[in-house]
Amino acid sequence: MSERKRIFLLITIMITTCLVVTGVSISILYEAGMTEGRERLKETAQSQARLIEAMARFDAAHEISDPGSFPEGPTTATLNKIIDAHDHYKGFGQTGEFTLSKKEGDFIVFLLSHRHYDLNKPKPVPFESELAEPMRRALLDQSGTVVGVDYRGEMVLAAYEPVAELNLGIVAKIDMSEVRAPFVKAGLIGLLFAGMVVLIGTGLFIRITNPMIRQLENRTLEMEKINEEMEQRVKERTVELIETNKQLKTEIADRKRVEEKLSEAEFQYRTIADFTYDWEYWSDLDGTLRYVSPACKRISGYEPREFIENSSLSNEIVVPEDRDIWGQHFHDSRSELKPREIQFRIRRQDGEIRWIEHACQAVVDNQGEILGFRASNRDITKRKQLEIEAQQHREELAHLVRVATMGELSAALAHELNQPLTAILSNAQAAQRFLTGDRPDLDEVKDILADIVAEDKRAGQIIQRLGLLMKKEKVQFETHSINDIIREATNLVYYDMVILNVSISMDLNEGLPPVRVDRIQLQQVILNFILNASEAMKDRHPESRQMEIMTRTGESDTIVVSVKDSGKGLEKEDFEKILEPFYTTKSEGLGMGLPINKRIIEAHDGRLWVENDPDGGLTFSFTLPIGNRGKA
Amino acid sequence: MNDEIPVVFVVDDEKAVRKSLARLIKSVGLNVQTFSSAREFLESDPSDSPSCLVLDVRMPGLSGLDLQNELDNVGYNIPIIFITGYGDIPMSVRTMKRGATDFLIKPVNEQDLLDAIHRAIEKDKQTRRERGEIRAIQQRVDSLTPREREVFSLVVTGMLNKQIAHDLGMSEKTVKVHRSRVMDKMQAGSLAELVKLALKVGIV
Repeated sequence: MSERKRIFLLITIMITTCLVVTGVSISILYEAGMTEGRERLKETAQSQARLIEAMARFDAAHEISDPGSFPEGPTTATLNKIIDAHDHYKGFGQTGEFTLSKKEGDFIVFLLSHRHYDLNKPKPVPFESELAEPMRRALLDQSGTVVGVDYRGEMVLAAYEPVAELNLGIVAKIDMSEVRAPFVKAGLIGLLFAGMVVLIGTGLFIRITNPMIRQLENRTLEMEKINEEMEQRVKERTVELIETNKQLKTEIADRKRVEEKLSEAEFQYRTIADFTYDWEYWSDLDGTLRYVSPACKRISGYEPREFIENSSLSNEIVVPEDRDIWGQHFHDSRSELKPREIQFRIRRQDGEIRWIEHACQAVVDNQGEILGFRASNRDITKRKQLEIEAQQHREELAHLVRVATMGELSAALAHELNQPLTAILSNAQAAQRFLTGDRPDLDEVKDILADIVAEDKRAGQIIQRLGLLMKKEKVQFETHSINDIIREATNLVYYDMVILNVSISMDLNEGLPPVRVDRIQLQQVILNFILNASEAMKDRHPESRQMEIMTRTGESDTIVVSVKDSGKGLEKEDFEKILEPFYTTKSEGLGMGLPINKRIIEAHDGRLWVENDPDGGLTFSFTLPIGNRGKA
Repeated sequence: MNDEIPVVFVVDDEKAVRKSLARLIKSVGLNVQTFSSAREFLESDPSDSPSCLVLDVRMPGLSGLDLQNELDNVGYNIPIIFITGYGDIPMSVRTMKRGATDFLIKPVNEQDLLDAIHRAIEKDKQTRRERGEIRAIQQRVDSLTPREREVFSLVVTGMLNKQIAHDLGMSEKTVKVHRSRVMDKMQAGSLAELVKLALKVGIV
């Protein structure tokens, strides 16, 4: 709402208030004035009427008492007196007057001079008209007050009263304009005052409120300004916030994407790592494990966390015989960084032995820092077994070929020898027959005998030839360390023993002097003992297939080599036969191993014997003379 | 021909063995022919005399067993005495199943060998006799006319002339004529003899 409108409204309210107040008070006053005027007029009219009546009655009585005193009659006399009196009475107020009239025919005839209009001779007014309403009522014998039209047609306030004695009507009346005049005046003055008050009020209001308004306006302006500034700042801040928010959202999205990628990548790598068939791991330089793939459970029987919690477990499960390999590898891999591969055995949690192919490589970061080692352990037991089985198979085949050859050889031998034997026998028998005849043909017999001699020689040659065929190579006596020979021999059957689950422990006296022996033959002896011992333990539980090879010094400048097994030993009756040729307790054995050993040892001036152990098992031992005492 | 001196063939790659065996066999009065290989024996003209073969199992080239197979294949039915230096039971069973007379292990005992040779020659003589007889009977059968053969084959089944006449659609009289001719030609004195002859040549 504009300022002007507001002021206008204010003024309107004030004016309305003034008007209403003035109007109401004036109308109340007016009403009171009217009521008072009516009463006064009524009293006036009534008192006049009663006075006239009294005069009339007096005149009438006077007439009676003094007839003829009034030539024109008492009534007229009365009237005259009244008229006379009235002529001396100008009336009350500005417009107030008495009218007295009587009804003559259809007219109202006024008896008194009027104050305003055809003064002395007022014209009668027709009864049936709108004029002179109060008089009509009075003439109709009514009494009261009325606001109505007078004989002139003016609005008047009138009291009407009939005058009973003279059949007249009296009316006291006053013009409404006069009645109203003070009120109109008062209204006007009131209005004037009100207008002034309104003006002054407005002026004052404006005067008083203006600075306030100014101030308020200023304040408002300031506030608006501040508000605007605030809004501006809020807007700017909001924009900034939105921008920041947007950036944040982008960053969050980026981060999320990166995280998702990371998680996906991790999932991928973990999936690959966790599902590898081989036992993969990553270890720190000190051997602490960072990651171990679940496949380790399949291969080693241990859970990945067992390796992580106990970093020495990887070392502990390596079988004692292979710890050196593993230890050397651990050392080598840290001294020179290059991919390496080794093979060793572990003992699984359930005690089973497994072959492991271990491949590892150092993990180096961008700065060339070594983060540890990535390694893969593959279970190659099956492959090893197959290799060994293939080897065994080859050996079996070779053995079969040998046996077959032997068979061939003996068949050949039998045939070769049978030929001369047949010839000799048949010749001899033919000769016998020839000689029993009457005339024996001696020449023929001579021939026969010559043939017999020839055939016999041939038989001898055959045997000699076969002997040459079977003759061994010459033995070579050289100085050797018996321990080295034992180690070489053991290495030859290393895999066989693994497959057979036989563990060989060695208790070798490293301080032994060298011996002069045929290395190959001695290895043959050791191998025979090892194979014999492993064969003897075939029926034992894999974990109790223990073999021990010992070397020590013996009596009178000898060394003693013993091979001890954990089999069930020998029955008493077997002791004597065991070293004889073709004696065997084995289904596939030729029964030649131990006799050969015996022969070889004896050829080395040694002694071979066998004894049962107190704790079960069998020990084969042999002696060899030391150094210079040995064969030249 | 049954009186001819029997011949013993000796096949052995070993000359000394051949010679000694030949001497031994000669000492009992038998003829001996020696061969150094199975091939040589196969390529020789077989003698018509009663004979037997002393054969070494193991020989280079064709072995004794191979030779036995060859002889079987060509239908040369000669008794064989195997000698071997290295015999086993399965091998001897195999050779005996295929008709070997004896299986001797070297060095052979003279008596065992000579007994075996005699048995083999007797067997060969028998075989030859039977073979000759059958050949003679077969010649007689061959001399029959087709009609006579028909009658012959029915007569030996024991059918009466009437039945034969009915079966062959000829008169009983004609059958009788054919029948007497068959008896003449087959040199059979009785129906029983005729049936025996028919059995020998496998007509029944």
